[in-house]
Amino acid sequence: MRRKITAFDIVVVIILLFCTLTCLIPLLNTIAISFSDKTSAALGQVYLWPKNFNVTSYREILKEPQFFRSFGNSVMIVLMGGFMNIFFSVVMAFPLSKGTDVFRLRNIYVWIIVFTMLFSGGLIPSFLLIKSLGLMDTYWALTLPSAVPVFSVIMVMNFYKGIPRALEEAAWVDGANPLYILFRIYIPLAMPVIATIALFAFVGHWNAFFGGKIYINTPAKVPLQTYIQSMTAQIDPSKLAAMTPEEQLRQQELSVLTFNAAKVIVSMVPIMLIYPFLQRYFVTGIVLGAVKE
Amino acid sequence: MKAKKILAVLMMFLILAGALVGCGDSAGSQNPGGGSQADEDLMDPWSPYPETVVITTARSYDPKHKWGPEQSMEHNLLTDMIKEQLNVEYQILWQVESTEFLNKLSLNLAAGDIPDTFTIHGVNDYLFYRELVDNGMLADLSEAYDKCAGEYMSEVFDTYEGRNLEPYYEGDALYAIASGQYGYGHSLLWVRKDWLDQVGLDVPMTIEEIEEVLRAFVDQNVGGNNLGFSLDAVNPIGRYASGFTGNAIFYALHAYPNQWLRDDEGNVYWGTIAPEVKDGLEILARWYQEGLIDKQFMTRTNSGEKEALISSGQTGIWFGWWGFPWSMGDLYKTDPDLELVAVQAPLDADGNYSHLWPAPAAQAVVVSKDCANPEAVIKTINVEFNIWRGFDAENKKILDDFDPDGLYDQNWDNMFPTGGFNLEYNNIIPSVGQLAKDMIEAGTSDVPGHPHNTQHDRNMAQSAMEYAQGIKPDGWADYYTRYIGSNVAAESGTIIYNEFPFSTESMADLKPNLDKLTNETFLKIIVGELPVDYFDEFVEQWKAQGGDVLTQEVQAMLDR
Repeated sequence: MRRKITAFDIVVVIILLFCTLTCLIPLLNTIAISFSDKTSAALGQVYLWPKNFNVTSYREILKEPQFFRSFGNSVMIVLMGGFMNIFFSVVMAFPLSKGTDVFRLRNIYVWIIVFTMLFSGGLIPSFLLIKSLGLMDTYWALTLPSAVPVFSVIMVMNFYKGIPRALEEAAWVDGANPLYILFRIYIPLAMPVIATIALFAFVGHWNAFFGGKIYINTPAKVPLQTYIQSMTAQIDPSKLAAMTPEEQLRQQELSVLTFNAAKVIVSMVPIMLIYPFLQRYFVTGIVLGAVKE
Repeated sequence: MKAKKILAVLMMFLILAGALVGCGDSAGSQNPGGGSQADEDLMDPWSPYPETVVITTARSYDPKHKWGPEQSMEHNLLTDMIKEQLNVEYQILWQVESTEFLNKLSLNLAAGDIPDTFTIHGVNDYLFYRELVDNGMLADLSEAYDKCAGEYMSEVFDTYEGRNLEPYYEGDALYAIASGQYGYGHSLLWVRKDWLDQVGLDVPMTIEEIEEVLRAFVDQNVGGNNLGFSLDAVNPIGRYASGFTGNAIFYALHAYPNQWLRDDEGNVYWGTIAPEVKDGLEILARWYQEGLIDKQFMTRTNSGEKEALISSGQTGIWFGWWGFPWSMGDLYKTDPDLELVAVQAPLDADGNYSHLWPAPAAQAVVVSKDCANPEAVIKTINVEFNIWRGFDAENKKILDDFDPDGLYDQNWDNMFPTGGFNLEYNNIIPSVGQLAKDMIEAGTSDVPGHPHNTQHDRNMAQSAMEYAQGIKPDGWADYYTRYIGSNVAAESGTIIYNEFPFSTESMADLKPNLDKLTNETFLKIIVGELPVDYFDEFVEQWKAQGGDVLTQEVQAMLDR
């Protein structure tokens, strides 16, 4: 039976339409700029459709070996860090999902990891820490500090709580040990929420650029977003003051809008490819992770 | 009970673990391995070291620049030549993209790791340099400089009369080798001659004449969509060498904004609050109202947008440096009628031209106190430029053969171990301009030129000459920069020196706000949102919001 369309529905649709446009228009604009010619882009004449369509920016990107190297680095970091995140979330959430009758210090652990969500040491202590651990210039520096994503742990933990106890008890009676229960029963059931945290992990690692900036010393090992960020870096206006005209000229050559737009689009492609496949889990995953029995 | 005990023990471990983190042995500053002590025999500009000296360095790189095949920052033709001639090797601890360099350097210094040598900007990074000096982290280079500076370096520094090194002396100790920043980059007036002919006017030399030309361009819509004069959206008043600003108009009125100046009594003041600036604003505001300034100039914030206005034929008169034609891209191909003329204009009421001069120093090389062989860095600079400028013809040929088309010319600052540190004569621009002029007038590239002219200079001048002769159309930019622009910039004018190009302590906090106040107020005055008389109120605001504090600090630094 069809529900009547109320005024409320219309308002909701309008608001959602507005949000969609706000997200979509900058993307379309960037795509259009990447396919336009340099002058039109600089003059700000490109809106949603390319002007003087050409693919020179993309061709230029393909000529740069560092772009591909950084792309490969990011893929590696995403795989490494992503799977570490998923593994740790899934395994850590299991004991934390038990009550205090089974696991006495459970609350303490939860408070400790929640504490890390709220407070952090800051930039210099983190830098000193990574340096003294000898992790400088390695991918461990980018993946280990964030290896346990607390938000994901809590989501999976709540999901596990929602799994009927009867299942576990039945397996227990049949002689299963906790590891078996975790890997053979809980994880297969938790696929929706695992898809969700996998998406968080992959996207998070793919988009991270700051760690690459301060911890990676060799340019060849730089991840993709750091590389792109270094190409599109805006020079501090106060430095323009003492810049010689030659330096200003070089700066101008650096920031070609079409080139940068093309780089941004190319770096978005992998995530946009994965997302549709994981999307159907996304909505159910978050909701399932939130509801407790 | 038991739980509480376990909890207590757990907490104790956590705290202990946290405390022990800070005790880690930091990687320790690199000791240059196997370096021989600085013997008297080695304290000269060229002699190699008997045992390989390893110098650690941190580098900032420019990601846009291309490397030749099998070349990298760690290992390229130039580093090989330096190793061959001096037996000095550079070990790169880390590299980062140039805008992040200072941040990463600070982080590493906080961790206790200082490289043996690195290159920073002598003026922009002056406060950072001061901190290094005040904390005793830098080596005294005065002896190394006296004994090991090569002939070229000494000659170049002579043309600056010591102004480039002066800020880096503490008594007799020298803590940085700062290259001088050569001048002549002030803004000239560029006009499209073909459009001038179209409206039948002469090249404008005064403010009134510029206004007449603008009015003619706009009224007759020369070029199809003439927008008038284009101003910078962020800083319309400009500073030394800024293009697309109204800066030269102010100079003709004896106003010099965005500079520290001294008045007749020797007190320092900030040029922007001088009463003459008001006259300049009045002119710009009037022009905007009469449609002589691009009505949309405030929205043109994209980089390259104002240059695009020229290449799309929407403006034909602007202020820019002698090298401006290099940013005009392919316009000479698409618009064959294009003809430019450059003049030092506008002149003031007495017919004189005055302009600014850059800060005295550019890139500076510093050496850490822990480095066993600071003079090795100076020797490296000697060898670098000996090859690059062509005095070492044999090695220069190797470089040229490797890169015949000059594709990797711009990459020199990534190739050199000392980074972007550049040695250039103060009068390089006029001398190359003169060389181009000599060649064009003689009709041949076989002219004596100036003893300072290098092969690179000759190549550029020759390119200009070949364009003038019609055999090299692509030499358009070289012709207009080296022949037209350079010679115009070299004409005499009154030079207004920047009294204080550096920063003081409070500048980091106060100056950005003051600059923002200045730019916003001036923009509003120009577009007519505020009356020109508001300028007086602006001056009071500027002083109250920190201007007075900064003025006092600068005065104190200068009186030191």
